[in-house]
Amino acid sequence: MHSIYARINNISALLSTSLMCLLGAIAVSSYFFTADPKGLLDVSSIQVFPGNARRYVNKNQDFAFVNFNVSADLTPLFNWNTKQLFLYLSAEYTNPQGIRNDVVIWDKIVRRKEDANIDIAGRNKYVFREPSSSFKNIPPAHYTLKYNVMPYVGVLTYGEAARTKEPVAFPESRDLS
Amino acid sequence: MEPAFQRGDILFLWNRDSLAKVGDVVVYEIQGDNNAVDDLGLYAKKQPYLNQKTDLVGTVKGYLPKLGYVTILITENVYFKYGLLGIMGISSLLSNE
Repeated sequence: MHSIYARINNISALLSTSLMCLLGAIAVSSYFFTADPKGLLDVSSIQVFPGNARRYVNKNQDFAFVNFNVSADLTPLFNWNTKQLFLYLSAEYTNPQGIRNDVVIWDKIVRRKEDANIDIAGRNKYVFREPSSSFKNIPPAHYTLKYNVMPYVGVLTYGEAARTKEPVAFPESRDLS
Repeated sequence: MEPAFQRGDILFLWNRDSLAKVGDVVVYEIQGDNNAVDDLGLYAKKQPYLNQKTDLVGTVKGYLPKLGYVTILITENVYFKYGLLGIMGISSLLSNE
């Protein structure tokens, strides 16, 4: 009855049950932190140039180059169950065919609360091009900064931290030569 | 994966949404791993996108750290595997129920 195996079994069962309960409680506790920080985002310049993509060498298409300023204090998103933030800046527009496009042009990982008060002047990190290969007749786009809160344990949550006040129009494509 | 998820972490996946949204953390069948250029070169020939039904495993919804190492230990560590089997065998022999 009180053999050493029974004792080991009991203790490990108790330990793993309490560990699971603790992890569950920590995961649930994230729902009580309801920070929703808002910041500012504006596009300082946007240019469109024709060029060739690496994969489709013979296809001429437009590339957009976006410079932006973003400032936001995201420190409230760091609670005891926040491992890191994934920030991403996306361009949102609905093309003339009525299809909603959402293009990520920049992102950043914030791993410490001390780095979460961001104030960045940046430009698009990822190639920004249109499936129709031209930005002509594409309506103005909104730019948004969104975040993904990645926890130590539990559910991943998403939110929007900043959005341009007015949609930004794509300029005419200009040839460099 | 890095630095958000490490080897041995457990991810809870979901693949019932009609569309994968921008910003979703997706798990797919092709090796990607933070390459400098887009992953088009890793896809099958003439394949310009990933098919949600056939290529995607799912979207990460939840996260549990480190506990996957139990499975990794059992499948990859020979000593642990046979040690565990041995302990189970001995304990079943010695227990007198």
